[in-house]
Amino acid sequence: MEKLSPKERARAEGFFLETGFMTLFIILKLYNKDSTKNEEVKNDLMLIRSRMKYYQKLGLTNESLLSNYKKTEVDILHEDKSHEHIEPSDFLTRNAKTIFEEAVNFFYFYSSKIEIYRDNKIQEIYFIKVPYSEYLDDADKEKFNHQVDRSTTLNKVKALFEETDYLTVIMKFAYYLKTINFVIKLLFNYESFYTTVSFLTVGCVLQGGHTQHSDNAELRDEQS
Amino acid sequence: MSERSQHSGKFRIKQAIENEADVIAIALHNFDMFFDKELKDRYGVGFKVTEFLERIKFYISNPLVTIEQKHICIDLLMRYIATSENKEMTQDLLDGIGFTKAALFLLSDMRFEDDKFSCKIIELLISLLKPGNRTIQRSVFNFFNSNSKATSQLFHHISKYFSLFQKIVSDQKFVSGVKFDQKMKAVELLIDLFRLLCENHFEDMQDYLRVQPNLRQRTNFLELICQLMKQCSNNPINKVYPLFLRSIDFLVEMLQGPCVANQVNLVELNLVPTLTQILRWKMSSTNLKQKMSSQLTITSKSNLVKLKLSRNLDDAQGMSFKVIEESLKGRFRMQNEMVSMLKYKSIVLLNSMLEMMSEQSIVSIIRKELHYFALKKLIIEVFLEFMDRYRGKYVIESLNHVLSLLNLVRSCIHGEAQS
Repeated sequence: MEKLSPKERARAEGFFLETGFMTLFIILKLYNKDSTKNEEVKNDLMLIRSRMKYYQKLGLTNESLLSNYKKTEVDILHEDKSHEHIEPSDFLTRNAKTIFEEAVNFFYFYSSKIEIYRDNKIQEIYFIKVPYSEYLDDADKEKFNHQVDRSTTLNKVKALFEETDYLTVIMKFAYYLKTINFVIKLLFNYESFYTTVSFLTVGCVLQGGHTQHSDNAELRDEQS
Repeated sequence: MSERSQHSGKFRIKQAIENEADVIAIALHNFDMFFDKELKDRYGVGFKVTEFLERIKFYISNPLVTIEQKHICIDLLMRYIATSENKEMTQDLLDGIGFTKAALFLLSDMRFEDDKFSCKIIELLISLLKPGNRTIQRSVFNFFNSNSKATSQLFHHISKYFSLFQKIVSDQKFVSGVKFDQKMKAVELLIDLFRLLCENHFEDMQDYLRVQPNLRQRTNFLELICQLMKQCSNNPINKVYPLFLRSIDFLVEMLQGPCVANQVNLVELNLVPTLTQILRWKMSSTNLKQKMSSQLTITSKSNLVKLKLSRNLDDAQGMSFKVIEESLKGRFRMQNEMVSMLKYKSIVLLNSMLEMMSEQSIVSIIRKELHYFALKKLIIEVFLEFMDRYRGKYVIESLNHVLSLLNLVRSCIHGEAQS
């Protein structure tokens, strides 16, 4: 074969983000800030571990940085001659720390890990979090947790597969609702607060109404 | 007759032959339903499909039968599997009749003298195994264990074939020839076959392909593939892309489980520097013309060597300028998307090598050989690509494996609903 078809090309270049995630997982598996002597690696690991609580749109808001990247993309991927002697370009020197910090924050925020006990050892397994997963409601998670068939591994996987489409749709829907508009965002983010307030309001109104009614009844009795 | 009309004519004939084979295959599947009663009523004879298939098996194994006739029989068998409603059942049926064993004996006897026919036999084995039939895998494993002579011969010839291919893959003159395509197809099919043999974490086969306890001369398939990848990475052109993909997929399959012995062996075979080399391949092509023209105007050999064509191109000093220029051209002939995919696959393989790896000596070797700068650069590269394409928005469309999974789920659910 000489060239890929457009469909094959789209598929081939579609896994680039997974590459980034898995590169981070390799770094986390290979390097430990307590055992490594390399200062650069230690500093980078501290950057990775100090996770931002809420990942917002990047510090790279200046479009000039992106356009600089396009002009000097050969520059930024300047090949080092040996692993000791690195010759970074000006662009990389100026911006590498920022870009790397943003990059690892992104990849670390959207990934997670579980620990399993196997062969008398605790093993860490890193995985990628699906987009919009932070918007999935606790009620939906609990519903799935209670309803899933856990009789065999195959049934567990099958149940997850069957729910994937539905969960993806509701996560996406929740994301749009919570981010589309400030008012709607307030309404959905503080739903339980409004529920409590409206319950208390209705309670007070009813109580007030009941008190009014009993006062009126007493007044009528006195008059008669 | 013009060349174009000849080509379209050949294509139509090929389609007609395939359709004919399909018709016969479907008729065989439904023989009991449509023809059996009629045969008995009209002619008073019975016909059993299994007996017919057994005769085909003896026919294929008969040395007096011509290669062309054997080709036709194998085609029919492959169509028989492909048109089956329950592929696994058909594969088990053919294995029960003895086709797996017969195909392996035939492949061993062929000694790869006829590339085309060897490919045909391997294709038959692949259709018996797809997508990972455990019965067939066990059957092949039992064959390897109980037929030492045939297995030894087969592995010896496979090893020889791979060595020959490694020599020609780095030679630019051979790569553009037709014979190379046929040889590459055979190598690709062999790698596919061995990958399918290990599919679904078949531990026995994973160990067997690394070391064969019952054979005097042992072949390490991990070593064969690592050497092949090393050769290909010195001359990364579009043509070897499918070979690269298959090699990495095979290695990932050999590590599934994880298989610790294979993980350790891959590190010992110096696979990590090859993967590091792949991770460092450049993807940008915007300034390519400028870069190429600036490099190609260099006339002295010492300057060319300084450009670091390849760390492993030891005989650069002895090569003429023209050959180096050609290899430099070939070096940039891989499409960006192919480079992107190979980087992804390499990272997946590295993750597989580190999966559940608790031996600190192995981890430290990988850490040493996999340069930290290469990983850091890759993260930055990927992230800037992500910013460029999605403007920092993390959406489902940015994760291809999730999209593929969703499509798979939808097709499964849709298929179930229809049935």
